[in-house]
Amino acid sequence: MNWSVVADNAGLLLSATLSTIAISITTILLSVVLALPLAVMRDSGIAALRRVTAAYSWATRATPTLTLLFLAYYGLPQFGISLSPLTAVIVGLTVSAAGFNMEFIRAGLRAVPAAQYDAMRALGIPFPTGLRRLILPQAIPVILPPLVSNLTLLLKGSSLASLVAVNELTGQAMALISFTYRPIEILATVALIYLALNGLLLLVQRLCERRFPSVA
Amino acid sequence: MDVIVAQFPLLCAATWLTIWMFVLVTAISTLLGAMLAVAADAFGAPVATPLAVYGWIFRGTPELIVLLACYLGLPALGINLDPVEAAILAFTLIGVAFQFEIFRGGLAGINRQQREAARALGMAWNVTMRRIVLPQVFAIVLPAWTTFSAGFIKAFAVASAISVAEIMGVTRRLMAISNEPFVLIAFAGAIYAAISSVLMIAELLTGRAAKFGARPVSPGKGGAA
Repeated sequence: MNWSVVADNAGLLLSATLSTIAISITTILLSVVLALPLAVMRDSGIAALRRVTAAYSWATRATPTLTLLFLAYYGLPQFGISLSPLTAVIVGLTVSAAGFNMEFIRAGLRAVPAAQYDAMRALGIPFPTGLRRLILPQAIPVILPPLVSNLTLLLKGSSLASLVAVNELTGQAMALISFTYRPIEILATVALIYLALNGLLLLVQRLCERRFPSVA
Repeated sequence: MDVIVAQFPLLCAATWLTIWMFVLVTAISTLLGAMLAVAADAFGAPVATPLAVYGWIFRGTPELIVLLACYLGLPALGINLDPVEAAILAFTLIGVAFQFEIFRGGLAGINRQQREAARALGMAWNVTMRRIVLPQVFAIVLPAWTTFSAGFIKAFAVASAISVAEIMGVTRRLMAISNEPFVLIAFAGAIYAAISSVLMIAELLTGRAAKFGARPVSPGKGGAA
């Protein structure tokens, strides 16, 4: 064991950790933003929208995230759309995560009693306003627990970025292994960093549980 | 499209490799996970605590890191594995961690008084486990087990990173000789989707069967399916 390889490259590992965090947070935010309209359309009165969003949900949940990431990075150039590695990673991870998140959001929206939707319509409240001021505040306590506990998956998924040459934590680890030949020290350190980040997510989960006590 | 047609046998072999690796890993990790959960339950903290640490490590670390540790890390300790062996080892390590957690939850779901009653009736520990506890555990864990399996098959795509010739691995090689990467990758995605759809349908069925007993009142939006 020779831990100096870790100490010598601490700066690189730190900036790689920050990229991992940045990729994860961007993916989380974008996937929720994308998932909300999908969830609403999934239960809308228009059959075509329901079918398209059901297909989206199924396709993204049945396909490996790596495949979606490769479609974004290696596949899209076939149609003249070339994304930078980082953009492709965020697109791939977001498309994948949105499939799961829309199901959590949908479950939350359905947990709001149907009478509330009827009341909203009876009072002539436009759907977007009602969604924002009446439905979502009630749905959030149901949506948050599964959404937050799924964030670990997103964090772990960000490691796939290394396979399209993004230097986040795993990518940096691979690069360091190939020029230091010290796989054990480097992989152990990187694994510990991921576990520490998971610990942080657990903390977020606890906070959410306290802020929005379970209604189930 | 031409590449898919011309290299169809290669893609079939890759699909087969993915399926048998998945089946093998699932069988070993279910068995080991269940046994370890029973051991943790029987011996308490001295066994349960190290297993909890093990589970925390392997459930929290990205699959790719575990794969690299088996493929690049073990040779540094003098253990050389070929890519398929390294992938099987890595996914088994990860699978055991999840299965242990699934079965631990299942065991916790069984009222301890049942075991006390069995003991009061003079039933030996192994008989109690086999005839009273485990049959109920299997019923409890089935939905969680199926949900995990439906997601786990997709993780095998990552094995392509250590040059395992599974579906994504072969696809990466074919991309080099194809000018239609999108079609090729989408086809690979379709193969995974087909396999995991079978598992997702099983997930729906077992989930429904499990809920049937004590179905909560669904406050859903009526009508809308």
